Amino acid sequence: MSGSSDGMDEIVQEFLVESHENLDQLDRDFVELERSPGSRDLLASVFRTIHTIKGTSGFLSFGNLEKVTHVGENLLAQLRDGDRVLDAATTDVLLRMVDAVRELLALIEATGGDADGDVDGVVDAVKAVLDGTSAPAVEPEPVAIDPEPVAIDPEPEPVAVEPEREPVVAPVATAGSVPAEPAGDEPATEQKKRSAVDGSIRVDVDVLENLMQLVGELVLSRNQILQLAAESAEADLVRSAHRLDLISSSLQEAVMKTRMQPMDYLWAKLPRVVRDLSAQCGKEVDLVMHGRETELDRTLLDAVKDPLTHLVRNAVDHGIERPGAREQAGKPRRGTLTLRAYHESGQVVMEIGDDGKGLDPDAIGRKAVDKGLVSAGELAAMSRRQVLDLIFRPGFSTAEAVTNVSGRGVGMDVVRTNIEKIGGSVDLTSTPGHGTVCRVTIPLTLAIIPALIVRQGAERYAIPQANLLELVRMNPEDATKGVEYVAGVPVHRLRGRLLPLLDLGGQLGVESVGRGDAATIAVLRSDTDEFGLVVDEVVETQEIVVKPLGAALTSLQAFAGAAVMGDGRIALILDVPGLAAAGNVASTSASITSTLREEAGLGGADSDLRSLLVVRTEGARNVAVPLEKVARLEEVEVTALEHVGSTTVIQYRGDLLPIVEPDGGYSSYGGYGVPGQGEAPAQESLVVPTVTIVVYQHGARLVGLRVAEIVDIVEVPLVLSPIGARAGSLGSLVVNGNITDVLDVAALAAPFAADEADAYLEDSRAR
Amino acid sequence: MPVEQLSAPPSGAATDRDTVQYCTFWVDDLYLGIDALMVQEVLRNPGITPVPLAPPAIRGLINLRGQIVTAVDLGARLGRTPTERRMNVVVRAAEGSVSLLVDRIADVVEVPRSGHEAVPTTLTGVARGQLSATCPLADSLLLILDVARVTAVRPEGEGSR
Repeated sequence: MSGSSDGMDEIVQEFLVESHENLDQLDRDFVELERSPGSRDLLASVFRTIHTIKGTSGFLSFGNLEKVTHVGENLLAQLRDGDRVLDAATTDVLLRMVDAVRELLALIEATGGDADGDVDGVVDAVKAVLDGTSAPAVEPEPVAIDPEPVAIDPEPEPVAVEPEREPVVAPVATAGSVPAEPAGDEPATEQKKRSAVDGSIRVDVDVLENLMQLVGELVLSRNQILQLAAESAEADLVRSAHRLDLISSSLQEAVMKTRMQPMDYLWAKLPRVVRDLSAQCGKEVDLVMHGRETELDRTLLDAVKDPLTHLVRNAVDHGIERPGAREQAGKPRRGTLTLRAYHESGQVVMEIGDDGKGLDPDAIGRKAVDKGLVSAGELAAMSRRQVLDLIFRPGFSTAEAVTNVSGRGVGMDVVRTNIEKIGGSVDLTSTPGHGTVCRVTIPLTLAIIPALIVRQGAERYAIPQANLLELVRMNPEDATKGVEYVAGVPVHRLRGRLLPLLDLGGQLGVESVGRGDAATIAVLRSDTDEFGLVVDEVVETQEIVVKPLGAALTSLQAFAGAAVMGDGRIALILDVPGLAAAGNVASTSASITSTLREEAGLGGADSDLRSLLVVRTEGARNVAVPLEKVARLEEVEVTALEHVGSTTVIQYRGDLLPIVEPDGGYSSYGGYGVPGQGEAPAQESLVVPTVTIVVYQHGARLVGLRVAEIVDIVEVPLVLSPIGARAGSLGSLVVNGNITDVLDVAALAAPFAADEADAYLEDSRAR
Repeated sequence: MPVEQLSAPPSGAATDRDTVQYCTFWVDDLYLGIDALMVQEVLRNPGITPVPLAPPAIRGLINLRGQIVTAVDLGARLGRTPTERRMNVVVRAAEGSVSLLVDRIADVVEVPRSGHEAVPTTLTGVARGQLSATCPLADSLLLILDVARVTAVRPEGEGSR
């Protein structure tokens, strides 16, 4: 991989910085040791330090460094375990060992390797002490007789017992100073280039966090001053404000940069994960990465680490097929997992894509119904996207069997929760047979988020943009129509969908001021629930600095934090999932359905209740289809309608879907749907008109029903009046005060009954 | 109730001082004090942003030079009716700064350590749990607040709306 050498350099750099820190600690420990030579704690600390350096040097194949630290470690082990008492000779040789380590580190930093270092002298000296063959300067304590050597080479070389320091120091020093000298336009006093230790410091992330907050404040103050300056005629003030503007922008950038790390920090581990995992699953997977240099705030990187790993595992485990299956599907044996990261409008986008089998919405739907996550009725009303979204519901897993890769209780719901916790979002697109792309969008930084500022009563509140889908403004004349109350539950019809409404004032117990009859609805999304939040006024969108609330307020689920606004006042940040939970949005949606049933005057016995999908036909007639027959609702462009013989069809999931019109039998412009009829001609509009198709299932066959509008889903006792009974209609009943025909699906689908239709489809394919 | 425990110095106070300095103030007719070392600053009339749904004792949030501080009506904490109190005594509590709203600021009073006495058993009600000691002074009785308890407003403890 191209970046591997860079990666290695970085590891060496880190190792050097860390080792130098460790050596400083070592010096302190030795000083302490002189005062209390018997301290086990200190000896253990010294041992750990040397052990760490040894371990890493072995890993990075710095042979000489490993050699030195290895013998040093042996000696220290004896000291630590009390098998040896620290005497002058031991101290001396230990210090020599530390010096040698230091020299070797300098050598590594200068040349990238330690092969040129001569360590035999020190090593022998340490070994001599270990073996007790060195002539101790001072007589060691008699206690220290321990004949047990700990893993030393059996051949001590007594010849080299007392080598002087020169052999160690001299070559290292020269080797160290020479290659470090660049072309040399630096002043002579600065002989060495900045070493890794001098060039970087470790900073507590909290300190940076604080710095970031302060810069946030500065940016807000700057905004205020810029505003003042804009209104002022004082040229000096304007100039100063302009300079302040420039400086604070650069400062903000610089501070943000201190916390930025490239995506590769996370990705570097993935090739190994993918390799192991694909071997485990018997798959062949290539990992392709784009945008590994894309930078992201450190705390966010940490937060997306687990979700990312999970998504990658998912792609290998569930997405990409085994080599055999791939060949059968006409794909190359090796699957490709593509990671892509890039910046987009102030956010970081990370895509995890595979070219595997894709997600099967039908299988997902079935599974969700089996697990009781949704009812068959709810499923039928869902768009394809919503169906895919089901995999984010808690308790969902598409794995047929629990493998040791998946199935450890962490599902996509956790992935989504973790991403949303940091203000991000997860999105799935999947093409059956071609693969799945999971798109994770995360803010660049946590501290400053874009927000929509709304007013309710006298105060302003901030709604994170991440939760905002759209704004709906209703004029006074529309407001009464736009907000309907279904047994006290306010709802809004948004493009044919019923959107439960929450009133922010009502939720917070704050009176509305100056709303009049108009209503502003912020359409928000929390998990998979969408709802409208009715507010007094939308003020502006602004970048805000998120501050936590005090301990006494953290239990308020309506608020996620607070932000200081440009005028110094505080605005509370609304917690959208918290509001949704407090307002029972999920169950509100459910109760709307049941309330509609009651309003229809059909409270009756629950036992006979049937769910009906009520639609309006092109002929402005209300008709109902039993919901359990409905497979899906689709919106297709009118141009997708094609004709085969006298039948209208659309291409649907690799098959042909026959389309019928419920008005077919008797409407004034009847006949099996001629496209365009009853449809406003598409003149002057670039938008291709669409038609709504109710896909329903009859036996093994899908049939599309072309309708003008989806009205509602109601639950009613199916007591049919025979009055409306005729061809194509089972009878009629009254729903919400409207006479509604219940379609005879069987009759409508009859021309397309399984075998006939199959034959017909065979026929059409042959053409 | 054991008297020795109650006469212990307020939490957070250094134990090796002979005297303790108290920042004193009035809430209704109560003369109260907080160890001066725990007082960060005193503010008059900062803008308070109300927090809907918060316990009644919490009057809102103040912006203390970019730091967001919760403002607690000290009177309400002591079982009095919440009213408009204008002075903010910002104290350093364990979980960050908290502003205590009081009626009137009084002097800083230095009390010898031996001058602390237990909270009188006759004092009952909400206030009792929030005090750590009393100091009988020449002309008044100073009630020493237990800062940790006063600032620990929890909706469940307060009975949220």
